[in-house]
Amino acid sequence: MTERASERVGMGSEKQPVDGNAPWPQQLLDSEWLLALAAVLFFTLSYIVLGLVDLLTVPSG
Amino acid sequence: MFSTFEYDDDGFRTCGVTDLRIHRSAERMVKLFGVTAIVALAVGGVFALFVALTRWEAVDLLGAADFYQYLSVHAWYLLIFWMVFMEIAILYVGGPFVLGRKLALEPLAKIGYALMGIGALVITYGIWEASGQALDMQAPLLTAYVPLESPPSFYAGVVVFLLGAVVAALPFFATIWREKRENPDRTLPLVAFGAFATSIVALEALVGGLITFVPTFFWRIDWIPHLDAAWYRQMYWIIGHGSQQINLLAMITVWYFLTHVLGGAEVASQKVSRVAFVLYLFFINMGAAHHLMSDPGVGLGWRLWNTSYAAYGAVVASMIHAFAIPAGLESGRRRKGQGGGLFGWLWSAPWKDPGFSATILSIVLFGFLGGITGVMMGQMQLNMTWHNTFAVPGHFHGTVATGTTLAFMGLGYYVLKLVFGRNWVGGILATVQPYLYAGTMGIAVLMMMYLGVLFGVPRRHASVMDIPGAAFSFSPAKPFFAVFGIAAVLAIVGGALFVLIAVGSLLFGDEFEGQLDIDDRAVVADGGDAAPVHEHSMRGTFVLTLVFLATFVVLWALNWFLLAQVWQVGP
Amino acid sequence: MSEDSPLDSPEGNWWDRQVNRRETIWLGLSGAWALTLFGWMLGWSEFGNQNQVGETYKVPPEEFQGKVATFKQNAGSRTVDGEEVLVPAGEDVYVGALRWTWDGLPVVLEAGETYAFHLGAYDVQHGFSVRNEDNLSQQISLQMLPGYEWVLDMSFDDPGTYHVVCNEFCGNGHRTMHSKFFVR
Repeated sequence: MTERASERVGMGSEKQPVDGNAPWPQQLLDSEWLLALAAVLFFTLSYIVLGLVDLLTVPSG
Repeated sequence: MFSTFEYDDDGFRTCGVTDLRIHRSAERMVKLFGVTAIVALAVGGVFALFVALTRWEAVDLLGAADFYQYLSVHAWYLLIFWMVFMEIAILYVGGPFVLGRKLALEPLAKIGYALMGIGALVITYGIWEASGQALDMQAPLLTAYVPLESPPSFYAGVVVFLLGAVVAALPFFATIWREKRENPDRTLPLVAFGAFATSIVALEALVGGLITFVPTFFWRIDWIPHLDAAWYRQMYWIIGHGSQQINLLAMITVWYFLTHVLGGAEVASQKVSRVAFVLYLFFINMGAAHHLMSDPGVGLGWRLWNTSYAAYGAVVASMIHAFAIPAGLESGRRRKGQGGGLFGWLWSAPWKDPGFSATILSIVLFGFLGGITGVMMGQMQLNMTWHNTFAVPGHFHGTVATGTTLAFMGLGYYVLKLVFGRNWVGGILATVQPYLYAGTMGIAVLMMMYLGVLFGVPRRHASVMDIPGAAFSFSPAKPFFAVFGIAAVLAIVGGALFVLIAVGSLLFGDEFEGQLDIDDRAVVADGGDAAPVHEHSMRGTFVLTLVFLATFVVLWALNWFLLAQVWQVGP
Repeated sequence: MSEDSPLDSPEGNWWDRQVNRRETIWLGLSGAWALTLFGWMLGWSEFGNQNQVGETYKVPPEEFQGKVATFKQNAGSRTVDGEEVLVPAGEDVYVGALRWTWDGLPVVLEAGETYAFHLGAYDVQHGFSVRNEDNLSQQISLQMLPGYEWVLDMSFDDPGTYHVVCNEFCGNGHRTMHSKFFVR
């Protein structure tokens, strides 16, 4: 069991780092900060901004 | 604190069960936040008793003013405090524990905790002040809908609490940041990736809450003259629903974790599960719009786009996890020789273990009760028959009280064992507790939904059987309320049992000897048959998910059929 | 084999690893179901009879209260079941919600006729929750906000009595807010 613990921590990992050679979807899924930024922007636009546009364009009656 | 474990000179220890390399900086914070969460559960549960025994009008425990105060406490302690304190602990497990790292910026964890604690106490005080006698001292419930006025201290407490949660999340972000910087070519483990998605969803929710409550506090103390009710609703529900989406992601992350540790599950497909988390990341918080379906102001296009999580992108994510998690359990157990026929992998699983049973019950009940009903009432037009009825708390008790709470109880059992190093007290009671709680709460949930949709019983009412000045009442619904009342009380007993076992184990439990008490060779051991995971049959899971889909379709059709009976509304 | 553990980093190219055939089928079913959910909702908004869609106007509460008062003044009167109720002068019905009563109700409506319901609140948020006395499952709820007037068409084929309760918490008198309208 203890060998795997050291593997996990990366002390002497035997495998080659591959991320630069990985398919682009894998690289994208490994770009957590980019994904987070895109997600927050999308939410801000879809939910907040577009909703506010609706509210701000309610006509007076 | 309460530990039997020792750390090496760098502050690390290796868990003999999960093999995780754990640093004491992360571990002591997990203990702190985890125990606080359970205290919140206990308080919320006590208040649940008063609420349930008032809505069950045969008992009719509280008068109206008291009811709304007790309801407010019940809601804040369970939907927010029990959940968010535990979720910070889960972030610290999903990040530092899984990655074998120190908790970065540990002082911020303590500051965050202090702010959350102070915020919670000030919120409690604000609710206590809300006697309802004056029009500007109304109980806030969970929503504090502007322009209803609650005590100013309440709003201040909310701001402090939300700020504290943001601060407490920062150490998680910093830990991930350092990991990515030090190991740029390494993919995060799935549980850590899930925790990351959880943290971003949480950040959106919490920041949305601050955007809502800071101006609202200023309005309440007359620094801002007017706050638009429609704007408030749109903004409020970012934290209102978003806080519960944190629950969803945290719960699913916990499912992956516990099915692996306790059942021998593997990851059926890294790609598919990760894409599902990314779908959540982008789309899940749009679900805040579910609360605005039957509102003026927001247009049709905005409602259709947001309520559908962008054409049901997030529902696809849920359905992916619904397959992936049992599939991981099935293929993992088949690989390790615990398969056999269609469902042998399931029957042979450690059902006596409360961590395992709580997890599976969480998955089943969340899916069938909580998830399906969420999609139902999120369908724009169906929402008219659900909005503000008793079916709404029915839905979120399905998701939070059976789904997330059971998952967190399961995790709690193992935090007690593997983090605090304590065996459980109570013997067979621990085995029975998840079943008792799940069964009774499940019945209560079904009753709430039935009462809401088929009788139109409103939510947030202290009494519906006796409307002053009106001959009309909801008395045909009485038998269902009786079943609800009894089930709710038993569910509260089931919840109390968990708290008692938890506290009892902390104070009186034997030292955990380091070996799991599960007679199952699939558990925790990796390895087994060398064939890759996707080649192991997932036919049992496929049958289960088809049953789920069939249920989904039938309930969906029934709901639309019911709506079609309603008179003509709209253009 | 630890790359299949959710606690370990998967190694190498995990994107191109094969996906179990049944999982792939399930993905297809999920996608199809998602499209069905979205498409049905979209379709209903075009072809369905129940859509909570109507014009919204920004109207200060006092002004809306005035509109309701005008509505009541212009309305006729009729006795239904021993109770004197308003008969709308035209096809507009004004309902104002306030702590703790319903202004503008009770009214009596003609079965099969389309009315424009004007919903608004005078003070805090309220919930317009309507059900058919003879069939409690025939019920809807709509949100009423102070500062907004929401105009929704409704027409009732089934004669009877429709009970209105408030289902948005508005204070201690919340449970007492009850009214009705008749369809004859």
